[in-house]
Amino acid sequence: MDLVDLYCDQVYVINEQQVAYEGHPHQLWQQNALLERARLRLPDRLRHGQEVGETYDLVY
Amino acid sequence: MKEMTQLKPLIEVNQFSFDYEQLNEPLISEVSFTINKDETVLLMGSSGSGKSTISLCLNGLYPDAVEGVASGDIFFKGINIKDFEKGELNQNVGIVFQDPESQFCMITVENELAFTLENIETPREEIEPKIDQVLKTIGMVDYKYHNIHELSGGQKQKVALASVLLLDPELIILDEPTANLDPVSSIEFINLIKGLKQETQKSIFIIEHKADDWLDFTDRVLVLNKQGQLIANDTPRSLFTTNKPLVENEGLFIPKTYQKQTLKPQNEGTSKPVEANMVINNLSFNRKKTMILNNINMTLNKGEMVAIVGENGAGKSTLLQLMAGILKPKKGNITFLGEPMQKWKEQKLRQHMGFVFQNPEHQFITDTAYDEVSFGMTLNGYSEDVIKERTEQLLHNFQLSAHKWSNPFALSGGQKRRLSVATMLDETPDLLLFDEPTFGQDAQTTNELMSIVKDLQTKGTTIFL
Amino acid sequence: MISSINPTIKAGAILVPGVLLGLMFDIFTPLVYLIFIIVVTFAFTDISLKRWLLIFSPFVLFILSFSWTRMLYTSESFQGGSILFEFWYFQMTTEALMVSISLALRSLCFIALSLLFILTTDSTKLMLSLMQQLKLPPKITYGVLAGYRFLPTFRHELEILRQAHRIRGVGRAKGIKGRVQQFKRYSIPLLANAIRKAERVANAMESKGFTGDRNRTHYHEMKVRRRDWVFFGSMVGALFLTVFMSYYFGYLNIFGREIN
Repeated sequence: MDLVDLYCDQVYVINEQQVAYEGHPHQLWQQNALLERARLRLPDRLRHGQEVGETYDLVY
Repeated sequence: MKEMTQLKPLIEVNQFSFDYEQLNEPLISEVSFTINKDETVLLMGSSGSGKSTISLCLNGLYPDAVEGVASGDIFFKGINIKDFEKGELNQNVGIVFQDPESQFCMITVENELAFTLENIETPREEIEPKIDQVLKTIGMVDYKYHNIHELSGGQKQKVALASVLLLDPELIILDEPTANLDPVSSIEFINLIKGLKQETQKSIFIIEHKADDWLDFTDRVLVLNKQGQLIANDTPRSLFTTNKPLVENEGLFIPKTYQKQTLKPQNEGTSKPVEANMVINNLSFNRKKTMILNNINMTLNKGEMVAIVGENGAGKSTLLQLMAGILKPKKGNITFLGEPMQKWKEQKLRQHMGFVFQNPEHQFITDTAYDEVSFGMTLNGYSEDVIKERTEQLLHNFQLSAHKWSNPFALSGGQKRRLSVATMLDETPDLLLFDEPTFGQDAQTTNELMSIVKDLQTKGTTIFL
Repeated sequence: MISSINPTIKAGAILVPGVLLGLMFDIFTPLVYLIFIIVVTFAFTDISLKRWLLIFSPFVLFILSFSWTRMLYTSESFQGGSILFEFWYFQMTTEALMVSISLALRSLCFIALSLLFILTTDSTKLMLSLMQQLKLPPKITYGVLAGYRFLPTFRHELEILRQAHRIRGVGRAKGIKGRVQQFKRYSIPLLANAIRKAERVANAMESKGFTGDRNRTHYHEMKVRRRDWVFFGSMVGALFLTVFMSYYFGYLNIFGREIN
């Protein structure tokens, strides 16, 4: 998923035999319901953004 | 006295070396470390560094099983593992292996779990309650009578874990258990381990090349270098901050948490001229009566990098095969460079399109790396000089010049991967299809591959992941 | 139901009549027994007629053609009897006709018996039973079971291999030399993977405490119960009854000797 996030210009999500999403990856990351349905995980870059409180304690 | 027992390590590895043949340049070289009770230790190392071999040495299978050579000692609770009876140590050290496909010998979940219990001579009356109990632990009660080969990768790994739990070992070794799983299944598996850890206080030894998801319950990280030496034995925090270069030099992933600046996406604001390379219209495909793809429409533009994502078994591979013309669609059509797919001549099509398979070995057809790369050019009927020059150039670009005359099967994982891409580049293809190219690859291989791909993209090739 | 019969006893109940039938050279005995097997197949199993016919019918064709040639080339000892018809330089005698019809019927009996066994026996149970009743070493039985799991993966891999080679531009092999080349190209990666997988499974099995030792408990105890012997008895008994009947009617012919 990281590769998709960093490099791809276009991403298609296949779910239930059909194209469930097409477009730029960055807009995909906002569609939580879809991500969950298609069993996809956010790229590391964004996932850690969400868990800021917890992870930053570890680093600094 | 109490302190004494606490200090006594569960596993103590002392100056241990191992190799399949001889100890001049051993695969594992004079490694020493300990694993304490209730500790979670993570072992990192790039592919081919002998990580998996260590796990098999720890449970006493190696060196006997492969007639390898070893020196140094491994102690389990202070007793040398050589002094254990056959099969005895296995009950104390359980392993979950990497490949979900090849760690079972029975057909149904129930029988596989029973197999483990029979091995350790559990009385028959106790077997069923134990099976039910462990299925509850891994959350798979409903799958008791299912066939193992019909389960998903993630479920298979859970069954493998259940078998290990039935042995009730003091140490659980996890040998890249999530390497073949999709992202969500891996996180589920990791959370399962995390929960177990909190409940049972077993020692856990994890072998992984990507540490990210395991970090929040890892106590210590060991790093094995390519020469099989242990170069770090540290807490995650200190390792990934002060000793960061050490890890990077080995081509390993630095956990994202410890990367000061996250990688910037390189795909913002595309203003490339839009020219369609491949158009897919109303494509449907079914196998027997199961619909796999239903009414798919896609447009792939020149010079774009496009990904399809979806859970395992969603039909990604099938779609790739349809695009490559190896499968015929049941309905709808595919147009490639303005020509309908069925009008393409096989040989012409292969010149304009490349397909890199998940397992590089499947694509090798000759005996040397050189022949492998030049094969396509010979088929295309180029002159000898052109072939020689281009082949040398490609081998050089892919850092394979030194292995020119090696057998493709004898190369390392990363080299095989590079070679399999190189074979597709006899001409700059208009479309390059990849089937999960970075599956189970370490950071270095992944980065190398992506830079090659990036480079092709600027030349106008459409990349499809 | 026959699927619940102990596999080892079932194998015996199939093998004993199978071997004995091999000695019956008349038509009546195998014919009656064949009818008996078919009745048993559909009365005591849940094999569908369609599935059974699908497997059975190719064998019928094969056996028909086989016994036809057999009929024309019978050995001297069965050349007696009156000549039915002559064709070119072949002579067809009544006895030759009888012998080949009998042969065909016997072969059909073997196939029906084998199907009765194969279609009602679970491979896991068979291995467990061989281990528990016949005391086969666990190393062999579990080895076979582990290998059995590989078959579908093997086929899947061959399929991928074909596609991958096609992508590389290797066309379908032409001529013998091409085929040998192709075989070599396929077999190396397949073998490499098979060996690797086998080694992994072996490691996994040993890691689960498997030592190949006979001292192990059994979750599914394969018992031999009374009904297993009843099944055995009726399969063998039915044959003896048939033999007796054909003796009574004067058809019986054991190993070429008419007995009456």
